Amino acid sequence: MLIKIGREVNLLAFSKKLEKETGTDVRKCYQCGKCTAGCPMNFEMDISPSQVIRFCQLGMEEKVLHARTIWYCIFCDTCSTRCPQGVDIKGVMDGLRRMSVARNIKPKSNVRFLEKAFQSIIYIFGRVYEPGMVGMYNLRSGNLLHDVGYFPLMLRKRKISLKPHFKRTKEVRQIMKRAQKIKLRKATEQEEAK
Amino acid sequence: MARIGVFVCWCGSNIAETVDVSKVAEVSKSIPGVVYSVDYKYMCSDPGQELVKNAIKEHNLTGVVVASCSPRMHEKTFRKAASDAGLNPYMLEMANIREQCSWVHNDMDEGTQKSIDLVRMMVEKVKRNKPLEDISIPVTKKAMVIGGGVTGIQAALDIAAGGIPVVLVEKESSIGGKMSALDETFPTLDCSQCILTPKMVEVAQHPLVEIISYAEIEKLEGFIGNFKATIRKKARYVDVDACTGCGTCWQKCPVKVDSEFEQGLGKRKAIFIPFPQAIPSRPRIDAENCLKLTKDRCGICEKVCPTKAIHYDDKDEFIEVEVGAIVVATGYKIMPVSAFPEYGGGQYLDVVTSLQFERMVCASGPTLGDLKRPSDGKLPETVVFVKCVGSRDPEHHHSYCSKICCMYVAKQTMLYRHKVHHGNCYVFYIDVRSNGKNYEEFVRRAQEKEGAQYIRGRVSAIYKDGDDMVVEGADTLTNSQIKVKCDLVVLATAMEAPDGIKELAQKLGIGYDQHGFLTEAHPKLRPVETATAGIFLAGCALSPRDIPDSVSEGSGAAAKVMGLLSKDTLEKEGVVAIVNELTCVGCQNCIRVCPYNAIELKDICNRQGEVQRQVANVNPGLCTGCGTCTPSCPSRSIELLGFRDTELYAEINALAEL
Amino acid sequence: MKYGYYPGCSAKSTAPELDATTLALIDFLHLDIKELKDWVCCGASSLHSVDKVLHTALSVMTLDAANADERDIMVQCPACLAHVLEAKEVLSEDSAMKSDVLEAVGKQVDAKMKIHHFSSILHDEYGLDKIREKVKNPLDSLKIASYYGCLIVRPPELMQYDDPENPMVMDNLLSACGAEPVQWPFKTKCCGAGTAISDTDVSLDLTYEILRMARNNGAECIAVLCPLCQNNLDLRQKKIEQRYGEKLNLPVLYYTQLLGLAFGLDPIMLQLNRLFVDPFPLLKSKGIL
Repeated sequence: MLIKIGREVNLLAFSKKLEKETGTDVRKCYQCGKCTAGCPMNFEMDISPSQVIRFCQLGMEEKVLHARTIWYCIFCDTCSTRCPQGVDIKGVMDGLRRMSVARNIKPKSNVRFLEKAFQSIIYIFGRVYEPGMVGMYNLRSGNLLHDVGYFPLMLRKRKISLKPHFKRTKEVRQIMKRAQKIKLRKATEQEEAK
Repeated sequence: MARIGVFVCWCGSNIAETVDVSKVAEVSKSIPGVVYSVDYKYMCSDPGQELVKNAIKEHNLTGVVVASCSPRMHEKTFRKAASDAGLNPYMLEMANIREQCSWVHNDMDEGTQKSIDLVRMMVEKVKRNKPLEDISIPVTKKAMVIGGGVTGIQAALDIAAGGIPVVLVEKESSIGGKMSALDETFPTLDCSQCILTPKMVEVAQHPLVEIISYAEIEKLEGFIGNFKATIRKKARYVDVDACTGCGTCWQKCPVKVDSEFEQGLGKRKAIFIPFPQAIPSRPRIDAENCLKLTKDRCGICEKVCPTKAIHYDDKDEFIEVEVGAIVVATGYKIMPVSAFPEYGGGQYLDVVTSLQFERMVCASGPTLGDLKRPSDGKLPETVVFVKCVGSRDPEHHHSYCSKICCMYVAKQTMLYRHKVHHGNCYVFYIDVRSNGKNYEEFVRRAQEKEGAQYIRGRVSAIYKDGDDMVVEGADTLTNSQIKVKCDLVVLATAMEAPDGIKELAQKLGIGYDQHGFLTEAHPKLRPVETATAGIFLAGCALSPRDIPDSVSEGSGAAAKVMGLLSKDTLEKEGVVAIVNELTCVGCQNCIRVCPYNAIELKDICNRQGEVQRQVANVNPGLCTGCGTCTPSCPSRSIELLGFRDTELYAEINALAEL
Repeated sequence: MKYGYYPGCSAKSTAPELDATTLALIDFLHLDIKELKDWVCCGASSLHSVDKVLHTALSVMTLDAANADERDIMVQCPACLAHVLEAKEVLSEDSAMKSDVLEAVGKQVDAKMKIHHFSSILHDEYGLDKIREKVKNPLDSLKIASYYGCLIVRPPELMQYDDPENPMVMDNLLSACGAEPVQWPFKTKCCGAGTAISDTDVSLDLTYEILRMARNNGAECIAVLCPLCQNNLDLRQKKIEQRYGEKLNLPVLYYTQLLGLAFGLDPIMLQLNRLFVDPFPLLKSKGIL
């Protein structure tokens, strides 16, 4: 990998942007690797958590937003809790996911389908409706028979009901609409600021 | 009739850039009383000082004002020049037209006017100055060293070599400190005890050194050259003079408890010496575990002692020592494993500290150098060393680097491999800080020749899985997670200030930082002195450091002590408070506010010797000239020489041009 | 103590045992805790990565529901707990985020109520002594591995739930019932429930490690407090046994079920039959049933 740093380049700009988005300063990281050491999902990641922070320090936005890593973080917070410098690595992963979604970069894991399914289900019912959610996930991920074997099992134990529950659906939809407006407004503000 | 000389300095362009120096000198000529006024490029230089001296002689000056930098820089320089020329040094004042004028303003006109005002103020003051004499205080030619580790021992030896008697006070029952617990030292791999014990014996046998062991400082009074320390000799229950150190008592004692010296890995008796080479080699009784002292049973040691040296009715004893200077060399402690919950929090016997590992490999240790892991006595075939445990961790523990761990871990890998030739050892590190003489080569030797395998990454968790200890670490250089199955884990835990250091520092009146490390007067230029005159620091009491640095500082502090105590008297500035006994009513306000306890009540008696009244009296030896007493007096009966009311009012009035 | 119970979506669908036993315990101990009328889904971790403002706004609706019922909040699901605590923190100081969130919610909401996990309430407020008194059917010599999961203890400044490396709240509650909690190192290691749907294989690996470590440290069953962890450890245990060729046979019970057993409540009411790994043989052999 060759990193060319021209005179006009400002490596710190991305760190500042991340700090605004996530509230944590990646410049504090001194690359000790404790986050990588304790991460339960490291073996599924292409770049390790400490490497993600390093790329952020070097302003290599593209590298991190296209990586598998940010989609495999399970937000267990082991990294942030143990970091000696108090860097919120989990928050950085979260922020990078949002940035990646905002730029329409294709996620590297199926978890995005689940997130979308979750969001749709909440919109429809105001609450989680497992069969609907898993069904939608299966459709979007293309794995139609995923976890299907558990379905009859859970039905028998009455852990899922085929009948969905509604909960304050109208209000939830209103909030979702308002939040969407705020998101769009913030996005245009950012564009104008550039 | 006042004859004042004014000397205005350019300080190169430092002052001249914002102040029209020549104009200041010119204008000053018209101040009443000024007979000579001149400007010069560098007043503090030799020619500049000559200028002052010549002017004093030629123009019979009665007072001098040097308008230049802060008095903190060169007041001493100019006052000496004045004194050389025959003028009382306190008749020279400085007007600070640099730090307080040219360095903080940009406008030439305003800067010049301000300088003119400042010079005028100081001229008016100097006209009212009184000549003062320096005060001589006697000096007690004896020193005290607090802390009997290698640093304190070195300081004591060096002071004693200069012919000055030393009292060496040590908290434990034997001198030697942490170095006596080590196996080998870096970078020479000398046997620690072998190089330390000759020094211990030397200091014990030195005719000028008195060792007071198992003792602590109870109180400190006095000031530089004249300290009075009250030392609490804790109850030992053994008469050290009658005792011969034969060892019969501790052989027969039935009580076994964890040995602090062995870091909890071995046992000692309730009556014990911490290690065989202890000095003094006289035991003490651990009052919390002795059966006689807690339950009035047993009493075997008293019965078998051939010299009847054991006394169960012993009490703490207080002794007073008068010394002229003190060296504080109180050392450090290291963090225990229990402080690290992600590493087991102390529940795993096979996760040990570096000091515990030293005892495990040491030939005089609890297993006589036979390396056995604490849980089951198995030979550890794979050992993992973890660096930066508690250090460089501002979120959970300490922000600082403990300095010595990189070196001693490299050493410990070699000690391990020398004992277990087929063993595997891994070191989890973030950096390797090996910046002393031959240190880098030492670490390279550990990695290249002695088989230590270094992995760059901090360890996230340590736990037990079946029979193995598992270490979850990382290798940032290949971006991998590393899981190691091993037999023993050695944590290089952070160095900390020892227990009770804040209380001791408060008793001595010296400063300490948020970590408990004692504060030096200036980190670069006065590294072994404190802000309290006469008290010096050395070794890990200041912050983590290795043996060469600690020993150097012990010698450095000793040199300071010798410099201080080489004279019979100490010259002190004449700037002290004085009391007008005619107007003083003895209200004691000044006594209450004086931070140095320098003021006392004095009886005023009639001719028959009957006490008429009491007034305040300042001890010029204790008074530091801080001036706190002067505003506290309701009758304006106490003044600070050199800053008397008439002088200060003259300055203020001059500014207002009254 | 007057709390409003925020069950969360899982309690009403995949974790009915938790809900039922919680209500049973509330009734048995005569606690003044009632389900909040107007609680809302917290959005779990999925919505967080989509839209932070929306995510927080939903939790603020639950805070509003608590205000309406004039009660503090008691939570059983660690994810819901984390999110209402986060929402409370956002509302505590003025910021751009706070104004965005309140704009999305559409009204001003105050967040001064106390928010606690049910186990904390039992441990700290109700007290271990009173629990000991209520035990009629001690869980004698039942070796339990208390599994807390990752969300309840981290981030420590937010959750403020015991020591993040070695929590003891559940252990203490179960000890008070006469059980023998085992010391084991994976109390707070993540089970991977978050990827259980999108990356099932990965979560199987993580779950296996936890089950194996519990068994190797002498556990006969596992006590949990998180509905997602319970699902993962229980539902998928058979598949794990097949995949790794090891018999585990570790029933995974909610701590509320175990407490209910100790208090002598009816096992059918405690919904023990809804667990996938059958707990009855173990409990019978210990004389608890």
